[in-house]
Amino acid sequence: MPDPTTDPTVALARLAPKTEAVTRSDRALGQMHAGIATVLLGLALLAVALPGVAGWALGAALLAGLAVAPRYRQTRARQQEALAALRQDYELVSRALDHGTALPSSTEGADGAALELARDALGRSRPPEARR
Amino acid sequence: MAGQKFLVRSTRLALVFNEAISLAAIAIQHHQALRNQLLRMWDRLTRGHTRIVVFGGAGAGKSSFGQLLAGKSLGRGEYRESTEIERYDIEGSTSCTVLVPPGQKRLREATWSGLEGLIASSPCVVVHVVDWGLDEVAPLTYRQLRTFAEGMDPRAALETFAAQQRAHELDPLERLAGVQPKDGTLRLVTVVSKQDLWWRWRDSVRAHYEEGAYAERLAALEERLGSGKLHHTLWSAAPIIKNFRDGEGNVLLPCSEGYDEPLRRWHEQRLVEIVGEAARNA
Repeated sequence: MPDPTTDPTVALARLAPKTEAVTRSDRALGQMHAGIATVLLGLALLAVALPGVAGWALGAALLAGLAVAPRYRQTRARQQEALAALRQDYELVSRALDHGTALPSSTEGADGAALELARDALGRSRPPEARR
Repeated sequence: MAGQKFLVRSTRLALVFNEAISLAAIAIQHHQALRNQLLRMWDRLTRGHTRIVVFGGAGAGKSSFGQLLAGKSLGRGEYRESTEIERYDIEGSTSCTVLVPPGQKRLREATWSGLEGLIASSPCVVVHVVDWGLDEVAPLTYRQLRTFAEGMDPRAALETFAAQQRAHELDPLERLAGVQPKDGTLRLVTVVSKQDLWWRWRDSVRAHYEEGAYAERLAALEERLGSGKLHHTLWSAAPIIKNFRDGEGNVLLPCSEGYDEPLRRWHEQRLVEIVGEAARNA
């Protein structure tokens, strides 16, 4: 886990940049998903329209998949890393708000907004079946 | 020609037969799951969907309880702070969902009030998870706790903290006093979790929840709801056995001597039965 801290005030101060990192990595992963879906859809349409090239389309899809797989894995790993770093700081801040001395029992203004944005970013990362 | 037709028909018939046998085999293989699905559908059609709403403080063990009911693995018991309402579907014949809101004070208004509305409008079982004040403190160290004072050793810091948290355990009961359940009857199960930690003081723990401030608050709740309108059960459990550590790894309270896996499992099994029974009656 990179750059750990045990100081809730430090963790609170870096919630905003870490949330931004999660948002960026989410966006990168989302773009990859959209690109993959578009290519697959295009190839499927091509195969339906021109059955003679279905084999070529399948071959092209496999090659494209092999070419994009390392980059996809890397993007996904970056997203997981960003989430883990954010979660670590969020949990420290959240716990300090409930039980600690370093922070007041409620945060307002920019700190409160940063905390809410961090919570949203962590919530988005949960599996769909666990969300409500 | 006739022979060829016969061959084609026989082949088709064989394929259909093969498909039917495969389907039958799958049905036999998954008959328990299919039976449960059908029973759930029947249950939902005839009695509606039951929800188990779990309240409690942050780090009391609500998520572990939800996962336990849903039959999910608890892993090694690492704490993970909830950021929003968690939802677990219970496997089995009863159409039932467990809803676990976060326990952090700043998130209660946003998440708890919706669930209180649900209690007022649909069949629900309310589970209150308490833990003798032994709420998770990690990733904070014992010196970062609000109750810490200079010169306190880790154990004293924990005991002061737990005493304060026990007082906060009454907050969800205060909130429930303002809720009118759908059919007027509140089905409440209080689960004293982290049994492995407080087992050495079990007489005091039982007295606290059966006779102390907690019991008084329950009596007030029943008075408001009307006589016999509060169906309350008190039970205890430990979803996992582990020492109580702070964020630095200091053991603030080790597991109780004599508390073992068979004891844990028996309480856990009975807890699932108690909650299941309450859900069926809701």
